[in-house]
Amino acid sequence: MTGQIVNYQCPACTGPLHFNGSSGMLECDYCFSKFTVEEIAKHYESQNTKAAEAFSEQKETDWDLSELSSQWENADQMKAYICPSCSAELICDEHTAATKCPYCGNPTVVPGQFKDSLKPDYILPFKYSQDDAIEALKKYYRGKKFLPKEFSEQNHIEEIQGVYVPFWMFDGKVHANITFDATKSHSLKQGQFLITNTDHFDVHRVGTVSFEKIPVDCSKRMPDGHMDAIEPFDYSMLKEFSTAYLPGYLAERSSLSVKECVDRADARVQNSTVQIIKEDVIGYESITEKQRNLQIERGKIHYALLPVYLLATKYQNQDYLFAMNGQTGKLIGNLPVDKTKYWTTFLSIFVGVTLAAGTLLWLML
Amino acid sequence: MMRKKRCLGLMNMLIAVFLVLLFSVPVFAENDTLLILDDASVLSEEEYAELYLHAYDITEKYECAVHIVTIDDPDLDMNSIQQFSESLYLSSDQFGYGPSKDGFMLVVNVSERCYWLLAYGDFGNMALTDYGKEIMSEEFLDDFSFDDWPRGFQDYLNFSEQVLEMAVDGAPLDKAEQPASPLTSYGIGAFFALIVSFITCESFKGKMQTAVKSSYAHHYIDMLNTNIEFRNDRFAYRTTTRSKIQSSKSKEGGTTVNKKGFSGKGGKF
Repeated sequence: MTGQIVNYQCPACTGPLHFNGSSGMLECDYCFSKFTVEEIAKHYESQNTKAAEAFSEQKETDWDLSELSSQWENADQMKAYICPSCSAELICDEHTAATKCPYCGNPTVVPGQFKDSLKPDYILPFKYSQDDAIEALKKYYRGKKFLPKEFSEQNHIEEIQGVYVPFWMFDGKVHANITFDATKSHSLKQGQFLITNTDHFDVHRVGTVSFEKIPVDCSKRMPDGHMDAIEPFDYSMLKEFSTAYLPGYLAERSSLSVKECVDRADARVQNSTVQIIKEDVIGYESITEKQRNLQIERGKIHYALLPVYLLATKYQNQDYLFAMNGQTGKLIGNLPVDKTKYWTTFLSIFVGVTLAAGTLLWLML
Repeated sequence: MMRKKRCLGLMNMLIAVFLVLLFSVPVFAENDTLLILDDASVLSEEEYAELYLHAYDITEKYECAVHIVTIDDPDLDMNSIQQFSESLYLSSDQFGYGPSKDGFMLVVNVSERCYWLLAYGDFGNMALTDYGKEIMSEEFLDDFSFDDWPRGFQDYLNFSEQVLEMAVDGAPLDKAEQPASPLTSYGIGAFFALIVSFITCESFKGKMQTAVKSSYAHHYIDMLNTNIEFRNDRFAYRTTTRSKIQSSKSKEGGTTVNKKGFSGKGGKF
């Protein structure tokens, strides 16, 4: 339990450090010193190694649950750590890799969560701050006609967290062999009749579509819809993983295996492949797919932590979760719909268009 | 073989026209116009006289002949009655009024229970529009269904008088003259409005529900290693559909006149 976590402290004053997305450096909250990721990673290299080793040893002597009541059945999924700054005991989810001590507020990292095969290949650093995320949410409310007034007026965010979400990234190719029935038609007048000749073609396409780093989040806690909707990420900014990017944010390691996630990637590549092939069939009036044969050639799998802000709020006892891409600033989420506003707008449009269109038709006919 | 059969058919038709003219008891108007030709003998003498007088009055008043022809010929069906009627109309100067031969003719074959209603001449065609023929047919067909020939012909003459009167006034009975009811206009408007309202509101609502799973992976396609290796487009077969052209004229109203100068409408009863 002792020494499994590391507090990234300022080498100058021992104040807590946090990663600043806009500067791309680790900054001290007290003396405002700035350090590069490489400097801090080197400074804490030996401490991280020791913490990771302690984490591995701890596995053998984890919780003794024999005398706990059945209500604590999930306790084996929890872990306890000692904060190196204030010696408080931190209870975390078994997948937590970076958090903040609730007692002294120091950002803490559990390097053991990313040891050996669990170490991510890449990390995409945060570019936007929490303030940017709050501003983006306010902007998101604007122009939403059916948003309840109280919801936007209260606008109190219950919780905001910058989280490094674990993603599997799949490389691969899809070999497609698809046949379509395509038609072209032309019409000619013969007396009082219009003769329409429709030519049917058997269209055959064989092709290969390659994909690179399709992200599928491997966190059980993260809703799939939210994680898909904040895409895309700019992979040109991917960095080699270092725990030095984590201070100031939450992070967790994967809680879903590759096998559990691969179906989501497969479905997406298949749909995109069919669409790409279909777009190659041009010059026809209609295209109907007749037969398809898709073979997926699986490639490399990468493991990466991608930056996401999660903003949670409550309205009428219901939770609303929004997610913002920490790199691009794209914010998504489902807002509550005011039914009165919906039906008022519906009726206003209905009555207005009925009167306008009806009068116009009456005058024309 | 087919050609020979067609020639025989045409010959039979011309012989029929000739026999109709030869054996009928024609009633000549003062201007030598043959107004009623009851070859099927479905009218009594009184009925005949009454109809004749009415037809004569109309013809003289509007300078547009109004003819009635009855026949009893099992060989004359829906496929041939139009050609027969047009040939009969052009076969003699006794049909139509004046040099332009303006007139209407209702030909009824009582054995095959079919009819053809035609109009000829600039004034005739202008007065009896396609829409007018439709309405006129409705007037007499219900009587013909019960073999009430005199009443059916009387309805035909009454309606002919009406449309001729309207034509003389410069406003022939036509589709465009029938204003759409407000109920229909607003009904169509309401249906259109329902679709517009639904699409608009669902579009606004859709902008509030953005956390949706992705079905595609277009952002991650490596275009350098993506290629179509084989393309083959092969003609398989051809299908042909034939549909009657709904001329803009008939949609808007007016009269559809064929190359011979006739407009017409026919059917069974």
